[in-house]
Amino acid sequence: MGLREILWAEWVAFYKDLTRRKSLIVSFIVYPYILTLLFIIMGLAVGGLTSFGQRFHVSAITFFLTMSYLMLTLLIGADMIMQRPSSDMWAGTLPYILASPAPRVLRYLAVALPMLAPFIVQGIVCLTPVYVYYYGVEGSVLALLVVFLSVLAGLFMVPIAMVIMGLAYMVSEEGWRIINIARPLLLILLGVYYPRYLLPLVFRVATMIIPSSSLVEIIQYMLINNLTMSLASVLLGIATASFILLLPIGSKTVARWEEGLRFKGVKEY
Amino acid sequence: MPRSPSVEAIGLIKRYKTKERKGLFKGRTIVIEALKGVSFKIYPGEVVGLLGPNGAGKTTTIKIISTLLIPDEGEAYVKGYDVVTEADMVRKNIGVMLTVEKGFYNKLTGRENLEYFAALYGLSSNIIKKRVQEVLEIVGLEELGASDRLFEEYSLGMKARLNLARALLRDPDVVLLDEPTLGLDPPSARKIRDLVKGLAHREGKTVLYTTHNMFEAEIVCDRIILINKGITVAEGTPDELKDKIMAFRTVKIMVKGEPYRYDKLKEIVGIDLEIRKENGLTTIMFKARKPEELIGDVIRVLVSNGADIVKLTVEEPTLEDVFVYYSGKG
Ligand SMILES: Nc1ncnc2c1ncn2[C@@H]1O[C@H](COP(=O)(O)OP(=O)(O)O)[C@@H](O)[C@H]1O
Ligand SMILES: [Mg+2]
Repeated sequence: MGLREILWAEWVAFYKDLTRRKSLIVSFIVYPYILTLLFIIMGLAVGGLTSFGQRFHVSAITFFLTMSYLMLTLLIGADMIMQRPSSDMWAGTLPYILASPAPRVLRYLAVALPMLAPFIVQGIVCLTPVYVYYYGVEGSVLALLVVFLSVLAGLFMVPIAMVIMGLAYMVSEEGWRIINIARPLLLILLGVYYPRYLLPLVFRVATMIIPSSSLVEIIQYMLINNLTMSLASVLLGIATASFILLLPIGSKTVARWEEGLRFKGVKEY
Repeated sequence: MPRSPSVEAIGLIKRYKTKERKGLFKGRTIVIEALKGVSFKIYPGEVVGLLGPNGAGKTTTIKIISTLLIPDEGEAYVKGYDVVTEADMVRKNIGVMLTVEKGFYNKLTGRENLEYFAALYGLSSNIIKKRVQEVLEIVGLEELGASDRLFEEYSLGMKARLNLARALLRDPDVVLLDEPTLGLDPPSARKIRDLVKGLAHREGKTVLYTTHNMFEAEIVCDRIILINKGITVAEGTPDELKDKIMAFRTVKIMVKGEPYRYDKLKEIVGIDLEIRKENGLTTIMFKARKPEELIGDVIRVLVSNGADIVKLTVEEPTLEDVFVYYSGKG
């Protein structure tokens, strides 16, 4: 039972599915721009773009475009996992998946990875021109770094998504309802809507339990050109540590949920 | 040395708890006792039918054996492995089919779906393609030219075949099939039945096959376990089951005209006499264990009353009779 086979299976399944749903591909490309537009309109209503730039030392467009992109990678990594039981219930595939010996952590990493890969391309295409405009040529290096960190942040969402998914579906067969509430909450805790470095320390530390939040912080520091090497390594260390810490917890939660299903019987539609 | 069973169920009991909703917050838990003590043994190389009406507990039994459901009481073993505590070992030895029409991804082809599950089931990448091709050929999807079509475009018969194909991916010794021909067109149903028989008789696999169709159980299964309301009510080969209700064979005598002396006939055959009139013909029916001892007397009465005998048949009991007999008792 290798990671290779599971990865390959999810990869093929995902891309075959994606390429057969044309509308999804289109929405995939325009989504970050639409989100940025939305943030900017909200921003204009609140106080104007220049005042944002003066207060937070970063242009509103750069900030919100980056955060929109980051929000997508974060959500995608988590969503693929959190929505999966629901769609597998509907397709009737869930019992066969429960009966498989595939190690759960490997499987859910495999579920998230294929979806994250196209975001590398999306990120480079979206961010590079804007960064080069605001930061000069170094902007392209910055873009690559941000893309790398964003995709990594998406991957680091896997264990927390497993925890939320397991708990939500344990509480209710219609766990996706709970997940719909958990999702915006998660984004608030992650800090993609605002500069994290302006947060009260208590809140900043508390939210570091979510592995990706430290990566969000690194990216935000990079945007204001204020990231030191030592700060970067501390934050990266915290992110990695909490990711590794959460993996067995995610695995346990999923196992509990599956065990519960074996008592109640897998619901069939 | 006695053969050891490949599947064994001992006193399985399963209760489902569901909520009955009344209004927004009110509700009470109701307990449905789906299995009330199901026991059986299945040996290598046989197709055993779990036959019972809807709601009898067939699916529940299949799910317990396939490790998808934990029983409240009782035990079950597959090749000696406990389905609760050694689920992983059980899973390696079984192939299961839970429905005919679902269980695959719509936007993937039949082949892609099988490759997906093969990977998930732990087949290594160098044999996946080959094995998937094999099972596609076995179930006849290749022959239908359907292997590379999207699952959402499949007919019900193709979906059923793909489901069976998945159950065979790991070449398991024990195959569990829950109503595998439900709603299928006759050619697909026949194909599945033939395949199933072949699996057991040619390859020595053990097959547990549920159905609510007596005709089907009779032609597919080497042995039948009758299940009703969560209890196994009878067990045996199709012939044994018929014998068990002591072969109440049905005699039908069709006559022209009106024989009238029903009282006399009743004296001979007992109260179990049935008379039907249609288009000037009268059909006299009765059930008897040994009809040959009665037919002579019956005919004499009919003829002496001027009846003109058109046709006489003696029918063997069907499984339906067996079923009605046991269900009536249960
Ligand atoms: N998940 C479930 N929750 C509650 N009741 C169930 C569940 N699954 C089955 N039942 C009930 O248990 C009984 C047996 O069901 P089942 O095993 O599906 O029977 P069969 O497959 O023979 O039709 C039925 O009364 C059914 O309604
Ligand atoms: Mg059923």
